Amino acid sequence: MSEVTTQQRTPAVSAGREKRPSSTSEAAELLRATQGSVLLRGGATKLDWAGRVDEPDLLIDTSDLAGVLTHNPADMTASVGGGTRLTELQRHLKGDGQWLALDPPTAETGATVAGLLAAGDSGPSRLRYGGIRDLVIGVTLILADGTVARAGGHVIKNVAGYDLAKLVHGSLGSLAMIAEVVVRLHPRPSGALTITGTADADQATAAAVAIAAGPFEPSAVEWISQSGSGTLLVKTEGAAGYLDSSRSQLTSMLDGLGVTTRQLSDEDAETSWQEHAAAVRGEEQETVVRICTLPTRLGGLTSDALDIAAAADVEARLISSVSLGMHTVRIRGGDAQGHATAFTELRERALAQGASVLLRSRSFEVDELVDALGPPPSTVELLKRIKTQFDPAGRFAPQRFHPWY
Amino acid sequence: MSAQLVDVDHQAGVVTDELAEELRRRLTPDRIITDETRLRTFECDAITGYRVVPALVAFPETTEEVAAVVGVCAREHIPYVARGAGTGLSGGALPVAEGIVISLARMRKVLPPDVDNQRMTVEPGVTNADISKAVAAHDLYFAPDPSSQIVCTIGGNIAENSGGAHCLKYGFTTNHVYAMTLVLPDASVVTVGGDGIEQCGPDLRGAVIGSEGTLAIATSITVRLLRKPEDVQTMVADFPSAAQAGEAVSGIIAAGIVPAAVEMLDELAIEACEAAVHAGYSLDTAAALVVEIDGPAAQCEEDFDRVQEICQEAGSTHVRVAADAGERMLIWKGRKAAFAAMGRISPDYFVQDGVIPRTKLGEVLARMEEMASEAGLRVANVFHAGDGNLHPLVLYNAATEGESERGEELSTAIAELCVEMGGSITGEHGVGTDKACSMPKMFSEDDLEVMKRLRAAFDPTGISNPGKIFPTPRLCGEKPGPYREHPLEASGQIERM
Amino acid sequence: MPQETARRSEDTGRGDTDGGDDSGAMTAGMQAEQGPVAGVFDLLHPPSGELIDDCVHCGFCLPTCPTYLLEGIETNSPRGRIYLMKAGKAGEVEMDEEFVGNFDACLGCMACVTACPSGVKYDQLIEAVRPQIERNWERTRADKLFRTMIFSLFPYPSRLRAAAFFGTLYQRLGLHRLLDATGLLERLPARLRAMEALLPDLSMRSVVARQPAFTPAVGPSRRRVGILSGCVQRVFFGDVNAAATRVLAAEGCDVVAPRSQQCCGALSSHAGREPEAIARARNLIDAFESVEVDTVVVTVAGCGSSMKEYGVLLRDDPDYADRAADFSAKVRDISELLDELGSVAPRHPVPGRVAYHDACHLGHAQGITAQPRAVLATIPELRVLDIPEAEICCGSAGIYNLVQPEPAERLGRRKVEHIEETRPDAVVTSNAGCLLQIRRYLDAGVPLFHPVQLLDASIRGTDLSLISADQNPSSTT
Repeated sequence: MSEVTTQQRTPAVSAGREKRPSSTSEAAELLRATQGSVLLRGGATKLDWAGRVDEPDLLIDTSDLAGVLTHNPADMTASVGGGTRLTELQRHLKGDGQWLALDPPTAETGATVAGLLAAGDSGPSRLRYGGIRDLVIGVTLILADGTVARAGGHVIKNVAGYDLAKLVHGSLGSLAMIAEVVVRLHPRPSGALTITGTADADQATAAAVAIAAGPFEPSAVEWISQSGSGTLLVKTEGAAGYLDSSRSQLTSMLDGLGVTTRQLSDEDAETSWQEHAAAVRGEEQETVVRICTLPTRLGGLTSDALDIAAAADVEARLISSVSLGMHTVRIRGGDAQGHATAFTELRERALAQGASVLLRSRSFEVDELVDALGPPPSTVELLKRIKTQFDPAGRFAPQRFHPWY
Repeated sequence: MSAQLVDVDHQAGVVTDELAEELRRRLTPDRIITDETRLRTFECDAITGYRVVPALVAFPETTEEVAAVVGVCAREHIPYVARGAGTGLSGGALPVAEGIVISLARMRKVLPPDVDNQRMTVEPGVTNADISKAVAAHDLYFAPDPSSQIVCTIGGNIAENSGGAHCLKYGFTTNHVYAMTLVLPDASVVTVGGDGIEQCGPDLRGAVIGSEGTLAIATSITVRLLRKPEDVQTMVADFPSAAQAGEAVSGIIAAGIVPAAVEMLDELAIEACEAAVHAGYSLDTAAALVVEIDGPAAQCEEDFDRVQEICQEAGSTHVRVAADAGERMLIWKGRKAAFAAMGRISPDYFVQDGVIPRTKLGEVLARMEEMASEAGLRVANVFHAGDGNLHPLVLYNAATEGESERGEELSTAIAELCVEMGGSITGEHGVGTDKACSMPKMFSEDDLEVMKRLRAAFDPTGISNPGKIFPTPRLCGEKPGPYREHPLEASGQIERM
Repeated sequence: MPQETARRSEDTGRGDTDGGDDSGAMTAGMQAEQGPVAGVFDLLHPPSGELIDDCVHCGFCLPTCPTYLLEGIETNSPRGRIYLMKAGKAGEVEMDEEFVGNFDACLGCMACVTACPSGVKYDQLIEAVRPQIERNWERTRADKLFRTMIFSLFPYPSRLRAAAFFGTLYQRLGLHRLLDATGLLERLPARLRAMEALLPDLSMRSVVARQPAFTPAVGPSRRRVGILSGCVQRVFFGDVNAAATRVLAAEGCDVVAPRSQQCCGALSSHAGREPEAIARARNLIDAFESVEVDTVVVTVAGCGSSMKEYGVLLRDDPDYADRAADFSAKVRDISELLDELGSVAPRHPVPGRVAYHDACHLGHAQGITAQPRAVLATIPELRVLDIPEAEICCGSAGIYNLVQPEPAERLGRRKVEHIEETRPDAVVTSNAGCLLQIRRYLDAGVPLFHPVQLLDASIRGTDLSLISADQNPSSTT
């Protein structure tokens, strides 16, 4: 099986309807000069998240709105064009020993900074550094009518005006186009330690609770399910002295929970984390669901997922940021109906227990059989009003949050 | 396309006796205030330069009661302002004339913490410090720590997106709230956020935090709790000049260290703090840096040694390391009392809250010094140096002819200097009434207009805390500026506290 | 008798300079006349504009204010009250029921004074407002009657004793629980249980109790001290005085208890009944001057804090101003004196866990928090526990629990909940009012003491067991 490709995610667009503006003002002009529905595309790594957008009247490719606009190493801030790929930004920052503290699985497949913000996508390191919502300090937005608006600024501490970066976080291109993003940076850690071991869901949960209670600043506590058990991956970063003391403390602590661990060499760790990212991205023909729960709900969610999958004649695989309570559930095998049934039941079960659920990638066949969004939240009327204010003509990604707004 | 925001002034209703009676029935009689005497004490928050007596103050105790009061306001088009402890420094809780103040001071329930998941649900009137106190036994705490944390409420923290000395490493209120129950201006009750760290759709929780009470009232808040760090090291380094202290800060950051806090105080600020708290700051030094490093012991130790070296290299004349938790607390108590202690060295002051890129610190300090001597006024400086958030305190005596005007001008000029340097007019106090007129210095008309669209989505009739954040002709008229003298003040009958 | 009313005519303008050069003095029973005013206040020492201006309205006082804690109403906080004083001076508000009620509600615990970063002297401000209210506000008949009853009773030991026997006050103060709970006393460690019995039993017997006029130091005399017998103290806690006298003597003090002494006027002073307070202050100064002592020692925090303010109270009285200041300078709380002297008498162990309650008039008003703990720390095997939310008043506050019973009860229960969190064997505090108030809500099984009683027990050592055998609970009447 191969990974999901850009082509599969991008809906068909008639020739001439795809535009690639090269500046904020050009993009604004383009929106002012046109009518009809608009799909925004960065790295095309998340185009099918939530509701799938049908053939749009206009597809705006942000590839040329790219590049590092400012980077002041001493202030540890940078601004970039929204279409800048995260990997490109990280390369730029590396020379100064800095990085945007974000390691989303979609980085390797071309995710852009604006796309990551619009999707609210993050990776295992969110545990230590926060998600992209916590790292963005300013945005420039272009509304569907071509109005350009800035919010936030270039300093990490700033409460002047509304935080519009948060509003577009998770909006998946449905409210505004993100033309520029200002981020706060972190120093690259001087060293890292990754240890791994075999653990079931309950052991993984216990490990996460114990690590949180211990003298660590963990950067990642991840768990990947395997039949009957799973693999625990723990990462922490810092100075050599700290890593030395952590190694022994973590090992004996996890040992006490029945998890035998080993330290990975730097190369092996790199490989493991790449495999982990690929696992979160999922594969072609899979139905991939992001579920967020209370961290200690991992065990319950795992058994729910496995039971529901078995009943629907499909398989379920979980990859969890245990301490964050963020889980990727991949439904695979079986037929589209099985995927649809398993997804719908799993969502129902998870929502009933207070979780949030976002449908990510899936096949077109599954789309025919499911309601991508599910029951509306209590804020649905408010969301409708926000959409009306920001995009009264309903141009941006019309089906993304249909029928909520 | 402009925002569908109706100016509340055009159709505002009034609080009649019948309406007050209705609210007394809906809540209880003792939780509705309409007498002149008591109303008077609600006319301002911690910035007493702005004073407006409201028509009624209500003290709801539940989400339903908040919704009931808001419902009456929505029905009658009566503007309302939510109020916590009234410690805001931007006039964010300034009442609206003929409007209602919704005091959340009686909503102080704290639910049991979920220790394993490191969260707890509290009501908006709970103080910031009481959250940490409630979970201290579990070695947990709530990270945002504004200086007023012993009195300011979590509801106010949400309105202002409060930070504090430790936000350089740990972030602001917006980074530490998982979920909120909100009463919207149409009196509907919604939940934003939840058990999960991410929800499906736009991050409304993030949009509401920091909106200064103009979008919604949070009536139940689930906060994120952090584990207390294994080790904390705190030091006070004295420097012969603020510029050298600034160099030390740059050096610390350049070394790849993210301190829990870096605070700077100048001589005047130290004088006031010492008078109030006797925290042992050196009185004969031009500037002092308070640096705190926390985290795992091994990491902490290494970073702390490096910080001391950097301070010495930058010319520090004396370094005092807190020997224990008691000494650390005392150092912080001194720092956190800084504003409140100003009464000891000056009868009146304006406080600014500008932010600059950290690298501009030296330049800004020099410019400020020039500006202060031109104005013939003293400026005490308290900075969150790590994140470039400046709190220049312009000292003046209102009783001296012309000083208050000069002070106000200097204060505004400093805020605008920050914008000029690529920074912000406010890092943590909020825009409120005080800085609304400076917003156009920082944002274009389109920027503000788009922000108003968000406002209009939440509050189409503009009844929730009107007059804050956005400049209005009435407020900023011919002479944009934060403070107008009360007629009684002009005649010498009253003074500013 | 000094007679001279305030020279109001010379005080003009904003009235901010009030007081400073006012040499007028109020005499007992004399009322300020109506005339030129500072807003709602008359010109006889209205709250000082300068002191009011020290307040920057930061709000740091709110969380330590008991009434704000209960009501959450800005008006009912120190910041709100100062704001109203200012508005009152400016004539922007009336002296109406709300205005007066708001100041009456203040317990005068002075926790806000401790908390204030700007050093606002709220104590001086509130003490300036209370006499203004008493002079310029017509209380309702019932309120007046009740207050008169209180002040015709408490300062007079003989009347108070009678009342106690009639049982009216007795019931009101919750003392009955002391006796009712005898069965529960069985659960206590024997020594502490025995000592607890001191309180009710001896207070009943103290009808005849008199302190000796002179008690010589044990061994060489280190200091000659006068001791305040007190009024409420004398009736309900006569044994505290006895214990204090023994401890002082054991620590090398000649102890004098002038026969002529009466109530110190603290209750009147805290309630704004200035003329009454002034008269009592003069009498007390006379009484102690007659016996020539180095130090005047007090076992009741509320009395001590008032006596330390005699200099201010009598500042306008040419005959007494200097003498009052001298007197105030000599006043010491007993823990303050004992800590200053250092111990010479050997101690015996008093094993147990005691929760120390900071009386507001000791901690906040006099700034004495370390000394009582230091003194208790000299007792072997005694563990002193700090009570959570220690800065908050227990609701006693002079006559507060009589005139504002509802909030006082809520504060009392709140305080006791916190005390019980520490799981103490006994509770210790240095104020008669606190002892009565806490007693009312505390599990009857937990005894209450004044610190000096524990010291006395520790110094006397063997006495503890004697008390235990002697004070069989069933023998109490």
